[in-house]
Amino acid sequence: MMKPSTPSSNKRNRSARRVALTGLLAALALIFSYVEVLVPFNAGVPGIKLGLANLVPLIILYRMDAGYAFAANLIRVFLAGLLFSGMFAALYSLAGSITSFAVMYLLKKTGKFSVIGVSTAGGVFHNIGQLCVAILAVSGPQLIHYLPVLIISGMIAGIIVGIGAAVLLDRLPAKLFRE
Amino acid sequence: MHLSLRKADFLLFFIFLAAALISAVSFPRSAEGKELVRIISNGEEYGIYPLEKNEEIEIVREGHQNIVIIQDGTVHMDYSNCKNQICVHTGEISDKGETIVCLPNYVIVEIIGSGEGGEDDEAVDAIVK
Repeated sequence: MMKPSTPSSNKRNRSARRVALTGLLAALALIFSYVEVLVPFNAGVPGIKLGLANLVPLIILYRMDAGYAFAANLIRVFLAGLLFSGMFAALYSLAGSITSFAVMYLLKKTGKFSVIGVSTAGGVFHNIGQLCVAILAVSGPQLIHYLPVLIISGMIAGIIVGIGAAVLLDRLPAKLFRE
Repeated sequence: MHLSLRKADFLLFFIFLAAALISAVSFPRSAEGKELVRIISNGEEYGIYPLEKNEEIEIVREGHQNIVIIQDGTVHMDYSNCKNQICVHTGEISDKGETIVCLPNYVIVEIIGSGEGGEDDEAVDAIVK
């Protein structure tokens, strides 16, 4: 016999579920960050990486909702900063993540872009967000010379991650994402 | 179904490529490695000059006189009224980190970078701070 659910317990249940699920997704995203730390991907230019961890918010954005994606990503950035790269680098990462997420969310909302396009924009704007922080916080405006490199590398990384996300979205069973 | 590109994606790629191209043209990378000539007289900075701009700089202080010439990306001490003339005989310098020193007149000419190396140094400093 199930307990008859009152509206308030129902609500509490749902928010508990959300918290638990967000934690789970953040942990999943953190694993991707960890994998990226384990497998160094050296493109010859400092600061360029694949951004494998973006797979998680991307897929959540498509299969669940933006709230989960944003929260899980924020927690992931914070924890990855704490564990792997240091809090100073996490500041960069945070700026990149928030810019990137905002752009991906908006592009997804228009419904005109494929997941590969959304991911590409995410990659590019991640780099742009980081560059802005770098210019404001540390190195000054001459760092803008780095912009073309960052746009191209962001595109390449975004396309690769986007293809990965597209394959996963096609293959992952829908029941995995039932709330 | 997800593994495909839409029309808007191509537009997006085009915009990014155009942005990269435009920013590459308007902020050329060569400027990043721009080198500067710093002249120090009696322990104080006398001036900083771009290496690529031809210029003749005269440094006069308490009877000491030096003339530094920047020409075609190289720097040399053209004249010094010091006794040993070591600075004049140093010849031309053109690489970052090279110096011409005139000890009797307390003049140091050095080439510094304003490019990537300098930025990295600043970044490290900022972290240390």
